[in-house]
Amino acid sequence: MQLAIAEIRRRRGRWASIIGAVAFIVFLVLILAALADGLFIGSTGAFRNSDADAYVYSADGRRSLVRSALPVEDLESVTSVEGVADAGALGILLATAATDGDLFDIAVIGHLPGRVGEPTALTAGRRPATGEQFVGLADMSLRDKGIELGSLVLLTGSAQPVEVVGFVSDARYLLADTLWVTLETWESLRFEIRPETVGGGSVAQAFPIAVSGGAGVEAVTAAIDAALGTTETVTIDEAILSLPGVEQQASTFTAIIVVSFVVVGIVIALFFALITLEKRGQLAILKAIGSSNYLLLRGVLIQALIATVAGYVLGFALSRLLALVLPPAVPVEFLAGTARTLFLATIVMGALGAVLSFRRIIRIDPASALGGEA
Amino acid sequence: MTALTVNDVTKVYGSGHTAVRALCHADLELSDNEFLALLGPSGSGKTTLLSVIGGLLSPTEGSVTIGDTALTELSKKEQTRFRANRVGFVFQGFNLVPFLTARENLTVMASISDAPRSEIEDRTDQLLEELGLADRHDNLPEELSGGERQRVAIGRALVSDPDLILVDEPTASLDTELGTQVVQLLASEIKSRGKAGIMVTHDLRMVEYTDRTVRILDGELLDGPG
Repeated sequence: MQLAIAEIRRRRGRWASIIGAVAFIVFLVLILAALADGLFIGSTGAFRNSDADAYVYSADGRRSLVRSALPVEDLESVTSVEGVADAGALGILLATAATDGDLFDIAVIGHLPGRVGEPTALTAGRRPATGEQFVGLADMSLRDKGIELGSLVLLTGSAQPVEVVGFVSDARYLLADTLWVTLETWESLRFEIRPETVGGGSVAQAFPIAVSGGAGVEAVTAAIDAALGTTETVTIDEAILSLPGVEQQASTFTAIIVVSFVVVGIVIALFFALITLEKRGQLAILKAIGSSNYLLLRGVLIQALIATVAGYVLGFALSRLLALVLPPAVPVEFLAGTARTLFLATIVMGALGAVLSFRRIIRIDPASALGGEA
Repeated sequence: MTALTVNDVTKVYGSGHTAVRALCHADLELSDNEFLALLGPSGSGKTTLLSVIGGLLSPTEGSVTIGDTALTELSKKEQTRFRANRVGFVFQGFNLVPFLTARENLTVMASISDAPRSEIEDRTDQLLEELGLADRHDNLPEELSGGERQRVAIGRALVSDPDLILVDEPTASLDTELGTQVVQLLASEIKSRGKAGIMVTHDLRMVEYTDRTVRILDGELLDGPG
């Protein structure tokens, strides 16, 4: 312990370089992870931030809100399936909106107020009443676009604006800001903006389902599909991963992060391999005067721990500094859970890197300390 | 009392046609309070003998007993522990830990040997005083002269209060005057503590500070300075 710490204290230059290298990789990984988390949160809020356990799509919709179409009258059949505690309806309309002349993309989501599938976290104002026309809940991100309670949002191609009566948080869909209106309003807007959708009766695009206490989600989804015959019902997790790009984004970022951690391990391993080579003579002397392998290996592990913890702290601080200057449009989310996982991964990779030098240390022959060989 | 018994030790490196006999039926006894010079040219086997005595090398044949412990019967692990507690080493060319101060180069033995830290620290202060290093205790090896470094090395060999001190060419990196001073100091430190010591040297001038000289030539021990 004394040796391990004294070496770091008195050989600051070289230890600063390894701590710096670890810090740089940790910084990179934390930013990547924050981006991955930000993209995930921004893409999936509309689904995650609800009480739904499963989503019903039309069988030919291939789990896509945009492609799926379900007759609203089927909702009753879904509700009557055993194990279904509550069912709502969702429809989506990707549109362009304007407030005071500024245009921006928006996802208008039709829903049934008070039923499952509506965003759970109301942060201001009130919810639309059932059947209330042309009022809506805005995602908090729309505040950056200048929208407040009482603002009127006019969709391009529609004559009647929607009044914002409440705000919800974390309810975005595929990084688009969302405006939650009643299913009736959604249908009116849809007919107006997409005239090709007129006709064919009232449709929704998915039915969010809440499963009652004792029922198993898998069993209920199977029962719904069996009862209706034309649907594909998936759990909430499957629905989230089926959102366009979400799974691909997650796996791409995970791959980059895993590779970065392998680099942490390699950097630490190379560093300890080099300093072990350089300290051969000194290690032989220490072994000759009675240092056990255990003592020397423990020292190396302590040093790897200090280097990775210090590197992590520095990298963490750097990532937070960068977050302060990033424009709000960059979807970064720093989650405590992610930071904890990455901290553990950094330490484990550092320890693994250090362990690679163990064999080299064990093989040093204490007899080489005598005869001036050391 | 007998501090060390080397009994019929042979050490052969390699095997078959390439076998080299570095030690040949070596016998040696050393009493407490005895400082012995092991004199021989390079390649004579003196370092091999020192390594076998210190438990750093296993002999091909024969046994080594230090005090009442048959060193050659201990496992590698036990030998390491034995060295930490019972054998002190002074190496050629100082060989201090470069990033530890003079004092820390001694107190590091607290984490290596089984002696309590307080005991090691008391002995460290006493040794630094005796070795004339009291005002240099906070200096790193690179800030010390050659003579001072070798005195720190002597301190490290003694700080865990071992029974046997093994010294490998202590004057190799020093000029004659400094070398003589260091060997004199070494002899007085070993004798004043009633320890047994063996010094490997090829320098005939150093033998006058020891009690006895054993010559070694081609792996065979011959009594007397020759």
